[in-house]
Amino acid sequence: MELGIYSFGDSGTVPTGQRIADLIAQARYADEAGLDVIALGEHHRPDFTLSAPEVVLAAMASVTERIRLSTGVTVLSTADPVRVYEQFATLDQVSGGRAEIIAGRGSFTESFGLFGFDLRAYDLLFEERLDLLLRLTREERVTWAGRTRPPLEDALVTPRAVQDPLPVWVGVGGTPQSAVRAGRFGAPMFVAIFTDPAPARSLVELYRRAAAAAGHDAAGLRVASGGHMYVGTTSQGARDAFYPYYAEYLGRLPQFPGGMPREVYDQWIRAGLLVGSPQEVIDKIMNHRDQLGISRYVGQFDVGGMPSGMIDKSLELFATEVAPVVRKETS
Amino acid sequence: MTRTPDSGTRAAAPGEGPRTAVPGEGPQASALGDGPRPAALGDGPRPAALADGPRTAGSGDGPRVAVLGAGKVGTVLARLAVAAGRPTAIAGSGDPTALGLIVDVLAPGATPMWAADAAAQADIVIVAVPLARLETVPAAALRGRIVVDVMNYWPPVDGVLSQWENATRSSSEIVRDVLGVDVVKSFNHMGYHELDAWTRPAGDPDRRALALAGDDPATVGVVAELVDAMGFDPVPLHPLGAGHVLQPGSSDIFGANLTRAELLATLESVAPANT
Repeated sequence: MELGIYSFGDSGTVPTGQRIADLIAQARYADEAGLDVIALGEHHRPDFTLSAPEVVLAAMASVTERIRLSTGVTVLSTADPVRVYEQFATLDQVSGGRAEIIAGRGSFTESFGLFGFDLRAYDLLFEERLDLLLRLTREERVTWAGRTRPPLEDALVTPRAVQDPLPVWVGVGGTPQSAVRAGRFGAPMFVAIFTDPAPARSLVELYRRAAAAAGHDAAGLRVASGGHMYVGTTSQGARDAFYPYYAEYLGRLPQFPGGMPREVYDQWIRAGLLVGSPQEVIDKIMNHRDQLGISRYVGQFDVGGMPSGMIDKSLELFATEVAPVVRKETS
Repeated sequence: MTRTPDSGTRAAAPGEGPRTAVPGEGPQASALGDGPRPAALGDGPRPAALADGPRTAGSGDGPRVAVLGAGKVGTVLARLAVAAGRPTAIAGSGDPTALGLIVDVLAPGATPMWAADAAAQADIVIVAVPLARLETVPAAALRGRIVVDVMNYWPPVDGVLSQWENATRSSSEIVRDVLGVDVVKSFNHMGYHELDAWTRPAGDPDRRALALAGDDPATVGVVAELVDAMGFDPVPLHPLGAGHVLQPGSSDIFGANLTRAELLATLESVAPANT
């Protein structure tokens, strides 16, 4: 079982340069502490520092040895797959074969306007671009035609990645059609889950059945999950310390414009949100494993503009008290 | 009436909690006549429509349900409708044969159909598409049907839609105007995971409540029976515009998963006088 962390680089009140420096230091710590993967999201909004995660991942590559360097997610509908492959093949060379991509929709839509794409064409864009990106990871010369970008005729895309193929996961939020697509393409699936993992069991079943129907080795395909996470020394202490930051963070979504009410927060924690003592977080990750058969869990470890001291402490508890126990229990 | 934060806010554990109704079981009594009424409830008649016995075609009894939209919300509602014993059709954005696997896994027992066919053969049509794709709903096939709007304006997914952005009316009033048919607003204020996890039999102290807003009390009553049969306490509101309080960010109702008593108390605090 692999364990890791992911970040959108929430801005908080920290200047951008400092926030990125903190992230690079946290990646270095995670690497030294033996975590398996760090993933960076792509957002095009002022409340997140990361719109070009591959650049920060390259900086992380230079100060780490073993940790895998992933996006979480690459908004593939509004990116050109050829350019994405070039960037991540380069990152793979820089890092000695540690690059990964999670392709997905993301939580927001700003990139559509910025790059001149029609949000209503989302499905077609994603379908075509995933197809092309996967082809590029598997074939050195690609001939491809579609409706959302110019065709390629025996195109040589270089450099090639160290890994053959470069891993491309499909990130899924719960939409059934997305799980079917991931299975149909035979790509590993990452499922975002914030509370109870049980409802995602049917999503994983759908994914594996779609993969089998398309002729892929369904049982061999990997499933990962991840969501918001905060680890504290004690259960109550963790809940109280994290609440104001989480309430503000979810206040950016339409449902809680005044911030998330404490009762709803406590309800989410009871339902499965990974906030609590190390033992609680261990139990909740094991529940993801039991329910979904995941071979990787990644927690968003710096939610809501927390001070760097809080982020570091939670990360330390995750790496030193949660991860070893989960590894032991799943080995 | 005060809120009791510790009563019944426990989340369901996997596998916990029976489904509210087994196939073949008739509709539960409507909540229109029992328990305290919300201030905003109209004093309309007990619904008479569709009370003339169960239909027999298809599997299950009671009003036929069609769910338009086979995404996160639509598949959960189709599953709950099947579990409530209702003959249930489901439609995605196109050819129903493409839905086979999704329906097999997520809503076994529902019948995949083209959207217009699903709506035409149904008594109750639940519309669960992204609002950005509302124009793809076959509005003509909705005429004469009871139409339930479960949708929310959600800019992070839909993008900014000028009709809904900064609207002062209930989003369902706009949906009604776009589709050209009366609608009942319901199911919108609980998340799809929560709808799936919180079904409880009538009388269970943990049962959650779902508000329904509509102009015609008889129509609202028919949908209330479905809500009840699916495992939730129905709380009718009148008129359709009163459903504004159920929308994201309008009050503490959206996303809160409240019991009936909690929902009624919250409604009173939002609109102490009649709405």
